Amino acid sequence: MIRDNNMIELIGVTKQFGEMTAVNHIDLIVKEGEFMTFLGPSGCGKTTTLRMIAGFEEPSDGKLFIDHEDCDNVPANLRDVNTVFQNYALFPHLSIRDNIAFGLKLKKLSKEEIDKRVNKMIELIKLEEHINKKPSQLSGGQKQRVAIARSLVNEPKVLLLDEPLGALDLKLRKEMQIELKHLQKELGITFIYVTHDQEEALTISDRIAIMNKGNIEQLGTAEEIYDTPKTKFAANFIGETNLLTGYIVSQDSEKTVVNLHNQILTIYDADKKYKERERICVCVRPENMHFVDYLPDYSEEKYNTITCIYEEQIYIGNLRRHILHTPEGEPVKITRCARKGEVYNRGDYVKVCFSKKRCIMVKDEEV
Amino acid sequence: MKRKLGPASVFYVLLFLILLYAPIVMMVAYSFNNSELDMGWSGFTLRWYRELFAAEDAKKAVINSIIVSGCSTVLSVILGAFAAIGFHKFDFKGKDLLDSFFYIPTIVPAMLLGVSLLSLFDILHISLSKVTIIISHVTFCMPICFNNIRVALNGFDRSIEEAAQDLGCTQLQVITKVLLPNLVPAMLSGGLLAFTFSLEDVLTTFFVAGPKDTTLSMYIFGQMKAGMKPTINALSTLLIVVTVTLGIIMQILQNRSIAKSK
Amino acid sequence: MDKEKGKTKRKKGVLGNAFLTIGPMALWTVLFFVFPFIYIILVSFCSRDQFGNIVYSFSLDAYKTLTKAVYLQVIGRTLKMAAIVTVLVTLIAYPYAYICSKASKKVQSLLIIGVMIPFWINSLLRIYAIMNFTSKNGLINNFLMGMGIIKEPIQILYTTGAVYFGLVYSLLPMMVMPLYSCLEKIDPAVLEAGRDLGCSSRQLFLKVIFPLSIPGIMGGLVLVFVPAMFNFYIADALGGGKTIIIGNLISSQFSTAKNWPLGAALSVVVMLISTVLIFVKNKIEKARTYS
Repeated sequence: MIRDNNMIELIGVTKQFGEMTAVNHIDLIVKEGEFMTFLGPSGCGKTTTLRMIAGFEEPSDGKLFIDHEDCDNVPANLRDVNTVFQNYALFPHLSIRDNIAFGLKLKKLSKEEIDKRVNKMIELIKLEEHINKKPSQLSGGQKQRVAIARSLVNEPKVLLLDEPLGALDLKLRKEMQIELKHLQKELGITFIYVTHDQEEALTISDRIAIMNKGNIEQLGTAEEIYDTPKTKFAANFIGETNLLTGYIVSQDSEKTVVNLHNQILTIYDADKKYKERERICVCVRPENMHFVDYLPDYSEEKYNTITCIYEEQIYIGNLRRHILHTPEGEPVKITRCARKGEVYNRGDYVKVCFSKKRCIMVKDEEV
Repeated sequence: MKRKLGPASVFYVLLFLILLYAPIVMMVAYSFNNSELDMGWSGFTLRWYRELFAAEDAKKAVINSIIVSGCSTVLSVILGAFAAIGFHKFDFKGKDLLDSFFYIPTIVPAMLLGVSLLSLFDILHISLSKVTIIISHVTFCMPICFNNIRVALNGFDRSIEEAAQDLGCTQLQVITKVLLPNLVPAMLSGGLLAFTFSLEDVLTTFFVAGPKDTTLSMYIFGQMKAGMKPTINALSTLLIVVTVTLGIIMQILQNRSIAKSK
Repeated sequence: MDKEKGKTKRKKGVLGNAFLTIGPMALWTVLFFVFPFIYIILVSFCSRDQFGNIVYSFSLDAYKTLTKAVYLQVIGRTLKMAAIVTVLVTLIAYPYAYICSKASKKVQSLLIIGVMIPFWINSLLRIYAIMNFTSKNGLINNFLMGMGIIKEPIQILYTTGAVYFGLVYSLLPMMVMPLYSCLEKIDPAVLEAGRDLGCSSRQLFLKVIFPLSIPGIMGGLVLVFVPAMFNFYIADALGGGKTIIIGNLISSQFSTAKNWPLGAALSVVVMLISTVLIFVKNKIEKARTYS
């Protein structure tokens, strides 16, 4: 039998807490050596899913395989996965060295082996001068390194990280993101990472699972998710986006015609099939939205054009963000290079446009 | 809002503290006073301490108290710690109710506990002895230890236990390798608190002590009723030194366990 | 089906473990706390024969005896005494707790330790210290004579006054601590808001600080009032056996007088009083806790 390289397999996994469904029938495969991120708002079920893989929660239904082994009734201490907790969860009574050696000692490895592996780990996380300190004497960033080392020293098949950088300040956070990414590539261990920070997810992941209300809304690489969000939620949650509501007029094999408050638009996106008159949202990233007046190669063939009312502009260093709204009151944002000096006044009627190929449609639904 | 105190406040605080400490300081001073009581200061002496150390009944009372309070403390810490860990680890119906039930012995007046236990021992034909005192003391010391350890456990981050499990601990190992080492300060401070409560109890012990099992507090009470004696001053001074030292250790332990859980 | 079975099994294990850990303490409490209390309530409805033995048949004799003027007087006197002591303790402790809460952090911890240390010391010893303090040659008499207020030492020890003094003295920390922890929690911003809205210092205290400190007073109330009813050794040692409170009465019924049903009935009465007090305290605390 040829084995695939599936490290984690979730098949119809469901978790219910009383009446509340935290995770709703999830199917997911994580490949060996992959950096997978669960991204979603709080309460979306991402942490619960992680805790089921770790063994802290039992699925109410469904199957869970780690390296092709059925995990039903395997307690957390016998699973070959380790977790890095958001608040570090270091043992306050043990020194840094003993914290890192904790798992190895439980496995009853020889003293030399433990020393060898612990020392290698301490070197890797660059905390050599702190090994005899207690956790309370370390800074947040150092504690996080220890927590990661304490898990990695056991050479688990999968490392689970539950918002591990949540308590750090922004600058340190960005540094640690890069460090984690490098560490993962170097060791080749499968990482499953939970975060609610979309930028973080885009930065570090091989693939992202966007979760909402216990479901996986979309699964894909950062580019796939950013460029072709499959649902309104995914479009909204990752990056900034303009959502213009309308309905389907007609659809053929290569393009879709949409009515947007009585403006007829053509969109070269026919991947998803819609019924006639079905309500949809057209999503356009702010950087793909242009002012007709300032677009030299503008043509009606290539671009969809709508009229908006200008509100204000916000200068944010390298970019300038223009805020407008449609006559129906839907907000429209346009980001342009800051040095381009588009000038409008509040209340001006402005023609804006976007390429017929650089926009997609999602179903209009309650998010 | 936090600024220097006004002169009236300083005066009040000083008066309050002076009145609080004057009787105690005076008692300590008189234990070194070379005169039978009520005669004013007439020179330094260690005579009363020598007399105290020579007194057989005082010695016996000290030994009794160490046995009684020691046993009560150890039993209370063990039973209290077991229950606190059980409360921390397991969920079941009626847990809150059981929780408040466990605290009742601490709010019930000590004397009522004494008379009701006396009646119980009487109907069960258990003759009064050190054992009956220990039983009574454990009844009101156990909730103190239980409470102390529970507070420490409540402040303990649950993900630390999960981390231990994640790294390969069985449920039992989580308790022995992670929970217990971190509970030592709370168990010690709870134990010390229980020890002082047991040591100073008169209201319960009065009813449940056998005739030969006079504890230190009972001994002092007996002597007090007979009037004032300089040897009692000396004994009191020694006891104060012991309890204040224990108290300070307890405070330090408590601060440490609070700092640790943060 | 199989899964279901696994689950019930696990649950059983949990219950078993829970029983192993919590069981001993629960059993102990039932055996040595609940049983004796039920028993003492039963005894209060029994009578006794002429040798002091309990006769196990229903009778209200003990409660009837309680309605005799002598006993009612003692109960009345005890309640009055406990009430006066509670008021005195509150009046003396409040300014101290208030000043503590206002002081800088360092001074605060010093002042609190200052009250705590005497509290650690055996209360018997403190009473013994008061005996010394109030005796004919004690500090009070010496002080008063030194100031020229009195010529001859006055009798303080073995009077009701000494009992009051001893009760107030030994129960002070019980009021300072809950009051302080309540006052200390008041957000300074609330006081500043009060000032900002035009409160004078007096109004600030009456309208903001005092109402917010009521849970603290209630906490202290139970800790002071209940012991004040029972503490027979204070009454014995400082009152010279002349001041009889419920505590003495109960104690003598169970020791010298050998009238257990009467002692039990008295116990039931004070138990009821304490319960009502704690109940009222909890009610007020609940209504007054704003967190």
